[in-house]
Amino acid sequence: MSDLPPGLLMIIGGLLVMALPVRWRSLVCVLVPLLSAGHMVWAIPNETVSQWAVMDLTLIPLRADRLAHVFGLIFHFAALMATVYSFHQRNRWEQSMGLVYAGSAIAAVFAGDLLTLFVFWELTTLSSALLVWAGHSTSAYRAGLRYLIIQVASGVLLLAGAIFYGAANGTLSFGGVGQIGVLAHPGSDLSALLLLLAFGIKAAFPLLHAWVPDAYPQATPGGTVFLSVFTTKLAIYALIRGFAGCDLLIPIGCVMAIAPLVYALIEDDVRRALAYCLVNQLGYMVVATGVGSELAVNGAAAHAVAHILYKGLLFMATGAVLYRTGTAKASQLGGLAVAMRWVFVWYVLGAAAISAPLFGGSVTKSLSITAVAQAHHQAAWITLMVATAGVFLVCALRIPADVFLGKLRTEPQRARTLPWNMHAAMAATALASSFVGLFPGLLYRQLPFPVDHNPYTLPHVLEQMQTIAFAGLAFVLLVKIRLYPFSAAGSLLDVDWLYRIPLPAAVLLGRRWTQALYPSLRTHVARAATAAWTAMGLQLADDGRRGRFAPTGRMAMAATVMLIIYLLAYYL
Amino acid sequence: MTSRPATSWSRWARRTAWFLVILCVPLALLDGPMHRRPDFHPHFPFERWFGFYAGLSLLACLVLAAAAKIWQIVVRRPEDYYDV
Repeated sequence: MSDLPPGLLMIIGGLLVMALPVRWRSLVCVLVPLLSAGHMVWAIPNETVSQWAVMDLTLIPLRADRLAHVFGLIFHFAALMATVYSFHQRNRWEQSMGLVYAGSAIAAVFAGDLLTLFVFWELTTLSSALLVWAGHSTSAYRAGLRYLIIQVASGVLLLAGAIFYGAANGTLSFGGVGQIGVLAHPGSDLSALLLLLAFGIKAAFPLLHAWVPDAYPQATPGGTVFLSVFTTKLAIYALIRGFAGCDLLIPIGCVMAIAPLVYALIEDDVRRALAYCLVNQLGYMVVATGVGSELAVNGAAAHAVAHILYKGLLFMATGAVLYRTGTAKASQLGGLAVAMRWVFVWYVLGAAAISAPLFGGSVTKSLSITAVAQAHHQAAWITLMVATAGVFLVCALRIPADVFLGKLRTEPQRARTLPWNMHAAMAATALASSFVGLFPGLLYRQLPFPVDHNPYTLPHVLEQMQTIAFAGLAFVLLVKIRLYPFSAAGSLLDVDWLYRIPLPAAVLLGRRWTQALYPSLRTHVARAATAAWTAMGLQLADDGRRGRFAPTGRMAMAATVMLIIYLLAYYL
Repeated sequence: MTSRPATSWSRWARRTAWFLVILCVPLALLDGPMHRRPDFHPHFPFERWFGFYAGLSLLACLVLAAAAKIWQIVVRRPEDYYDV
């Protein structure tokens, strides 16, 4: 059992769920993450490495260390919460693929070589595309296709990078126990650049990010909770392992932290707005990864944990709103705080966890921000502070004000009361998130490096209180000067516009041109072929130039000349 | 489960807003004593400015919202933009 990579049990369980009768499926879905988590915690101690020789390659399907364990733990917890949240689901594909997706992300985190990483990387791609398609609408189908193409591109880049890396270094190892930043200098060789791009697509780097807001809101409420957890955080893990300390990541992360906020403020679909906020929070982790000090890497890993919890909670709460009202559009929502008061409470707890003291996000963000300050990256530090205020404005003020306060626009359907399991999942996630905030030491102890940081000094707390209180004041001012509501019905153009409008148009144009050219091209070719055929027939006829018998001597002469030429060519 | 009239929300909102404004003043004023505490470790000189965090947060939100509203003019399209 100690050779079995964690996550594999979950993948097998997921495939098994496909074959189970409907009344067993949900129960097995909840039990599998528990079983798999037990296996990881008790059977896979730190510094376990298992090797596997296939042909000339030494593969390392399992390399357990502290960094892998942090991600493994939170992935298991998130899988459990997501399966509880979708306990009422009766969709075979969605239930099965949710587990396969979570399992392959966990297995990828424990993969010790690039080839194993690639296999599980692609498995997350396939299973998550099926989760998007489980949204069961034309737009979900199309978004899923776009998602699949982009994710497969990431996989192809990863494979290419792995091949170049293996050829150059003679090994496919992706960092041994406790090693981070193993590829940290892209530009020095092609393989590192390819791998950075592969990770960058999944980590939603600027301009490569459009698949997140495009695909995530298309899935079912439960599917989106799954999606919001694994792909992007797997990429953050891969960035830490491969590129911790790579300076290039700092400006990239800064752009990620700010630019999506502009979209998140004006996006009408609140689940899409949350997806933009997700990219913004990834920005913190990418900046911290770029700084690469022990504190910064701790910060990135810890923030991934807290972020999975509260972003999962926010997606669960907005998913619950979608479940009951049938819409997630801010322009059609409002005033739900009374009718859905518990969901409102869960949402507020999730939003508080982003930056309020005593909740999860504040104790982890404080690690990254302190690390950035200690490394004296002044511009990056200010950017992250601005982003902290901005994300509070979006997730804790704008979205709840749109959805839960104000006038009631869409009445929740009485026939669709929220199943108990959705409430249970939200309550447990809120509890876990608050737990991290109340007892940060518990999380700090799991981090890759020893932590000597107190997030609850008075100045830290005051800074955070000032940041959120003045963000609230800004919101009041914005309401006063009638800049609020920020969003309005409509869809916003993002980078995905490029491959949704001009690219298909160009392909269509190309097809039209070839279609127009084809008939005349065909006549020309046919005429030329007929002419050549006739000419050949004339030459080769019995009395044609080439058809006549020639004397044997001439043939012998020609053969000799040819042999001489051949001999000369051989020696040259 | 009964829905209350909309006016009660706006009154509630106005009270919250005033509460927030009143809360912000002492929070900002606390910067004075805080900067003299031994556990205040600024990494950058501007962290010593009075009301730095408060001002940055306020300004950040206002600028972001203004930028978003301007950007909205550029990128907003009808809802069925991609469907046709």
